[in-house]
Amino acid sequence: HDRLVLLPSAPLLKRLSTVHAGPKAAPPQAVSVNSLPPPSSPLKEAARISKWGRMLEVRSRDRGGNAESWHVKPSKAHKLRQRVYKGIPDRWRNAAWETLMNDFSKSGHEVVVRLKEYYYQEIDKPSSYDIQIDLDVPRTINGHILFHTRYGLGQRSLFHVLHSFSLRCSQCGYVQGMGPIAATLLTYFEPERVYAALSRLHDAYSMHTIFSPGFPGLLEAIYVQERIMQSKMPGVYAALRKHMISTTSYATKWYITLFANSVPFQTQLRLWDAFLLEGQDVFVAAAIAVIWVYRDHITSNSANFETVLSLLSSVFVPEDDDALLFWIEHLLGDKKLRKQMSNWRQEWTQLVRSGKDRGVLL
Amino acid sequence: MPPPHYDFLIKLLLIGDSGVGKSCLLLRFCDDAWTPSFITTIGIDFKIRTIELDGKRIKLQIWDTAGQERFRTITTAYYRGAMGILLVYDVTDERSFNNIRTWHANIEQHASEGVNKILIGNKSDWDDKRVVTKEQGLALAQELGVRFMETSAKLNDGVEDAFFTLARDCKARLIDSQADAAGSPGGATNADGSVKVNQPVSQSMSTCCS
Repeated sequence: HDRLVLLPSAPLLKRLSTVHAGPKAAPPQAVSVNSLPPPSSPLKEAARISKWGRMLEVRSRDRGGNAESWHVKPSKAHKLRQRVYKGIPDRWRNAAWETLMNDFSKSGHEVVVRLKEYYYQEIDKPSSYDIQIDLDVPRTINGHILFHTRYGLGQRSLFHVLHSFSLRCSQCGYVQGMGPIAATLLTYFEPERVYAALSRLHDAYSMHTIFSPGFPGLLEAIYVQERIMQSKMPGVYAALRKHMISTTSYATKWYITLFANSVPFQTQLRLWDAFLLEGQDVFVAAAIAVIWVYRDHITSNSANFETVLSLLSSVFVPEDDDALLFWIEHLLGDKKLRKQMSNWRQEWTQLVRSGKDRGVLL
Repeated sequence: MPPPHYDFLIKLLLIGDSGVGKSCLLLRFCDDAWTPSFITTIGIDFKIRTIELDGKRIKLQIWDTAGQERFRTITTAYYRGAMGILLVYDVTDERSFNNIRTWHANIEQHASEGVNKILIGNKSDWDDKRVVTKEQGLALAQELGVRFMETSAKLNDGVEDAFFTLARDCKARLIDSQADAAGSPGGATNADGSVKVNQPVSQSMSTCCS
């Protein structure tokens, strides 16, 4: 029932650079897609499975001798980034995501063990968010077979995870948007590890600022996104201003659900591969990629408030996930831009702190 | 710019507690579809439908909002530009009914003065789970001085009527009254009698978002 539009690869062959407004006669609409593409196994999946098998090493085993945690072999560490952007083989995602979270949060399996204990401690305590969570669970990626059945295994797990997690941070509690994130994790991890993963996203990946009242992290991401648009695509920035399109009107769900409802599931997983490696900047880069691809539609003479906002509120179906991911990889590999992004984040914090943030965002 | 395929643009806004069926009402009205388990609205969304009223083509731009309290910092920015507001509760959920007063207070605080309002009791088909009677809904509507209607997005009952009623009220207030004043100096009326209500409103809608 959502608008599906094609995210063509051609514009992604050109790297981000300063560009002027495109042809005025460009159509204001993107090409529509009738249905989501069927999930397909990447061509090189088999070769990649064995490469990841050689790159990851068991770090600890449980009492039954099963692999419990992994790490990247130091001799292969230099290959990690590129391999993550090529797409983690699906059967390695569980181990790889855990490993990436360990590395990013500079913590190890002990932390996961402790977080799992919290999960069980919190599970029987009441949460003031329980009614809201119960309401949202059946409307969370319900197209996935795991979440099909009301009060089925998947929905119950999702409820328990969100319930326990709502007690973890008194400021964040539960926010709509946590649902699709937890549900995505549940397709790879058992509930207690999903709780642990959510906690690490909250603590180490700055999701705390995304979920807190007022969504400060969302506004910060939007500020950075707007600065990149302004410097690299001034025509687009001016068009958005002219049409009075506030970035919150289309990008709120991008940043709060980590693109869960804005791209096909397979694409979302690829974005998350990169996110768990690099952090929040990945979603700013993904936002910029979307704007970059559709820039001529936005600056078209026949574009207006509705055409632009409909376009940017769509579900984006990439013609080729690799093209999107490689574009993001290249953007985030630009050290100068990364430094600027980090400066802009600080600049926003300063603006907020000094009460000068009003009217700054589109 | 190509000529618009409508005479007037009216902006409507749906508000109310999470899960009362705002997105389902919108889906029914704009796409004539229904799904029992729509995804949660995060932030804000909008849909369009063009209708005909008194021989005029009216484009309705309808904004849908997230119901969770946390999102009000984002959604209230859209109140100002709305010409009509649907306050929605769920007849099977007393809490959503009791919260209507809070939502109404939000309108008073953030929306434009004189904005048209209608109170909607949704899920009216769900007889065995109903806890809010039609009389209670009507009494609250009278107290707040707004119109009232029960709807079922599922059975497509009352949905058209609700949106059309609100659109007609908006048209009467904003367009017909201006048209009456046509000819007076400063009347924003075009040669063909249509009123340009398009741009200024979208401006007022976005400039308040910060």
